[in-house]
Amino acid sequence: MSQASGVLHEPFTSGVRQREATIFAIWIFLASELLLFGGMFFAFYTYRHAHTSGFDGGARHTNLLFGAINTALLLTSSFAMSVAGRALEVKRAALAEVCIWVTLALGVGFLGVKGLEYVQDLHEHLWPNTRFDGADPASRIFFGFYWTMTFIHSCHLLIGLGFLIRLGIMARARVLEANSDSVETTSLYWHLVDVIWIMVFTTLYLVGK
Amino acid sequence: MASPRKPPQLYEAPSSTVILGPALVWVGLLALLAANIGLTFLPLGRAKTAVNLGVAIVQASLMFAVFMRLNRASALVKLTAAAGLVWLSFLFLIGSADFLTRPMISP
Amino acid sequence: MTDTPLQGGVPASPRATERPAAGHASTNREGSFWQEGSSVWSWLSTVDHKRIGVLYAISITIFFFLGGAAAGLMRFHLFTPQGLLFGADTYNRLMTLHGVVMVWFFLVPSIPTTLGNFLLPLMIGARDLAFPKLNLMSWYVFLAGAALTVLALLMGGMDTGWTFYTPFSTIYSNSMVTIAALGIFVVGFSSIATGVNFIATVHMLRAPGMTWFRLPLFVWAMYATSLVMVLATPVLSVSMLLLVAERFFGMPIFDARLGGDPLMFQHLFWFYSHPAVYIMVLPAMGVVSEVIAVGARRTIFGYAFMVYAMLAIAGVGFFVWGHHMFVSGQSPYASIVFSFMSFVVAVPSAIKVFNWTATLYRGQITFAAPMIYALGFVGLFTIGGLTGLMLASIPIDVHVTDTYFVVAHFHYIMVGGSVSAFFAGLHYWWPKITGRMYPEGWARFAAILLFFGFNFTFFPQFVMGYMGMPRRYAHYPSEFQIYHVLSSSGAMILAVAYLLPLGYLAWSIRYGPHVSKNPWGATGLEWRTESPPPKENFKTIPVVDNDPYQYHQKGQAPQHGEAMHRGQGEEGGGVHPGSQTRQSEPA
Ligand code: HEM
Ligand SMILES: [Cu+2]
Repeated sequence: MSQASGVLHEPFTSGVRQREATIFAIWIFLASELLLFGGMFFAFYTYRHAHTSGFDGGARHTNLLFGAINTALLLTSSFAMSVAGRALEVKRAALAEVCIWVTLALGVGFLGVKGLEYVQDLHEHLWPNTRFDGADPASRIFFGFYWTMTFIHSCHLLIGLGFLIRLGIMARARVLEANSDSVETTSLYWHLVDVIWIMVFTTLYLVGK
Repeated sequence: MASPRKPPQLYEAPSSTVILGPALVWVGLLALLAANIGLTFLPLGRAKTAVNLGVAIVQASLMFAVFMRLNRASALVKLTAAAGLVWLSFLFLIGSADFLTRPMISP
Repeated sequence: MTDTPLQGGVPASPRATERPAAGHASTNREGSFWQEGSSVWSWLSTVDHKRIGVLYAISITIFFFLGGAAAGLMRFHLFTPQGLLFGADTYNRLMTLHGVVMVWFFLVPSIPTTLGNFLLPLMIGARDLAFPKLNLMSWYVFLAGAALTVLALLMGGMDTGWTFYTPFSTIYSNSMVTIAALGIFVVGFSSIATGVNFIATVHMLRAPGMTWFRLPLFVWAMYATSLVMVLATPVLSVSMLLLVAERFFGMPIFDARLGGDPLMFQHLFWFYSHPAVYIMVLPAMGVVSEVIAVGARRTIFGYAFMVYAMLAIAGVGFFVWGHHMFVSGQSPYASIVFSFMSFVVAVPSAIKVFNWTATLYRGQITFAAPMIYALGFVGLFTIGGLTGLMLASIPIDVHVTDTYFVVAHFHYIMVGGSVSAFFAGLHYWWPKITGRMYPEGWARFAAILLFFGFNFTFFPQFVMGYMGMPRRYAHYPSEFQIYHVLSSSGAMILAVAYLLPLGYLAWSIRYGPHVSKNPWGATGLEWRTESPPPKENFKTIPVVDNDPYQYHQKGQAPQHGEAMHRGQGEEGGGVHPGSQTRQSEPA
């Protein structure tokens, strides 16, 4: 079975071509997402270079346990997502559907853990306002990045969850195969959000510890 | 099109790799995660940042290559992904030209 | 095609060959995309690239006149040293409104989303863009961003300038920065969506035989522009997000009191905003290449170089952003690199100017309105570019930073250049879009008026800027008054020149004479289909078997008397490659 789109849409006349175009287009978008997050990483590492001790002091306050659990959750969700796409290709629709729901559940789990972590962070006065708990002012900047990066990442994840729900509904209605383009694009987006999380995790939880 | 194109890649795969292939990568990713956390507590000194980031980049590459199927993607798609990284490197390289040399002027 | 006898060798007066206007009963709009439903909903839910182009055109026209009104008020205010109308705070808000609206809600989307949307599929022989729904979505996203920004304006506006520099924008400014920044963030996604769509379309949907090096230069321009849109805009998005994070949520990211670096914001901002000027000018270059070729009946000189030059501009344009920061306190070593790269990026632009000029050489030039606009572009763009070189050299820039010299420079590029080209394209493709011809006399008059009004407005700004008149001030020392008066008077002329087309183009939609498929006798696939095109663009997808711009035989100049004039392609729809061999009447 070759990789062709399930249903043709205007202006395409060939399913193979439409699939090719879809994959290409979503990758262009992903490249652009890479630059969006890249800007934050650039700022982060530039600052860290200038204020190493302050930043690393901040990093010592992030909760490695929550971070690690969340990373594992997302890696697993990516695994499930990837199986979903492949299962659909070999016409194992039931497996694909299960995997989509698993991905979704893991994503929700991530947000749940993140929420717990945020609560704890607030409790420890890690919101970088004047009541911030930390001696070095640069630690406050670190937490500026912490909240911004994790929050923007979570927003992306939320959007991904929206797309997953859509896939789940399609799978229920047994029209997933007709919409295999959507499976493909959603899963690429989802994976990218996970790749970004790997970098966020390493940056905020690991390098400074 | 002008010249008939090579048909896009077939991802056709025996159904065993539907789970097995990704599963292997998944195990690898989790192992790397564990390794990276472990490395964090080793006294690596100044190399630590590079080591941590290196492991993360290996993880990301695995995701890109297998989960996102860049390994079998068309040249065009590979190029697109590369373009994102290359342009990011422009931001880092040229941006750093300022931040890294500024202290040389006004310490 | 049947040979249309040419009148006596002289470019006939355009009117001579027009069919008489058929009143307002639009006969040839029958079966066109205009006729596919006329309810409001049929427009708001359309996925036809042509209709979306029209929707965009209406939206950006509104913004153009909004931004223009602000400019007019500012210029009127500046007639006297104390200012005529308002205080410094209001001035700052108007200035910011003008900058934000003109840049993000008019000029960046202008040519790509209107002419680009309309023409790209036609030019490559496709039935639509690759993702029609995405295209429609991009328009709604544009509207959403616009709504946020207008909301910010209604709530009092912003006073930071369009550049939103920190720490003023994050800590001190007492205006609607957050909402406006979100509006700009949102509108960025509309740009990205358009870029993605265009790139995918050019790669995937070219008609049989339409190889890369047969693409019209306008298509190449759209392609290069899209690359920049996709790769630069996300960095603007992130700079706006970080701005909001600091201003609204208190994340001290650029806060120098804690060790943050306001220059970080400037780097991120200009990483986008310098390439953004190429988003604004590359499409203009594409339009002008089309118009000059047809207006001189010449094959584009150095087609391949034109393509490489555009790609080089798109690429190298990313390495020069620091030339906006020479006096900011950035490292002088970095400044040297940025200065050097800025000189480098001027080379491909110069190549293009050279090639346009060489295209005119031995051409049969007709000064129809689009051609006047296009030639105006070449002249004004050259001045803008040369003064850009002055600004790229650090010693001069240190002297004229934040003066009217800079204001004049970028208006020469953005207004004299891009907006002129936009008008050139609008007039040139107007018959294709509407099926009617605009009134040529009025159009020529407006084009010439625009050229004079423009120089009248902005040339004095070079002088006063060089003498030290700083920008962004509501008051000024009286020694500069003469220049301000000149500039403000010019602005009034310019306003007329911009309002005129609004009037006569609107008139021509109803009363203009009908046109054939190819009123200019141009090459290019868009001229092979009806004017206006049917919903599916082509009855059958065309097959391309020749290079673009074959207005005459290779190695020869066009014959005297082959000048473009309207009505040329009346029956056959276009000068086909074969038709160049015909004998033209001796003069
Ligand atoms: C597409 C058309 C135009 C674009 C893209 C454009 C863009 C800009 C930008 C970016 C600024 C800087 C705003 C700031 O400093 O924040 C500016 C300033 C200004 N523009 Fe325009 N502009 C356009 C048309 C015009 C026209 C037609 C006029 C005059 C009639 C004009 C008059 C001014 C004035 C008076 C300022 C303020 C200069 C200052 O005080 O620094 N602009 N414009
Ligand atoms: Cu620039």
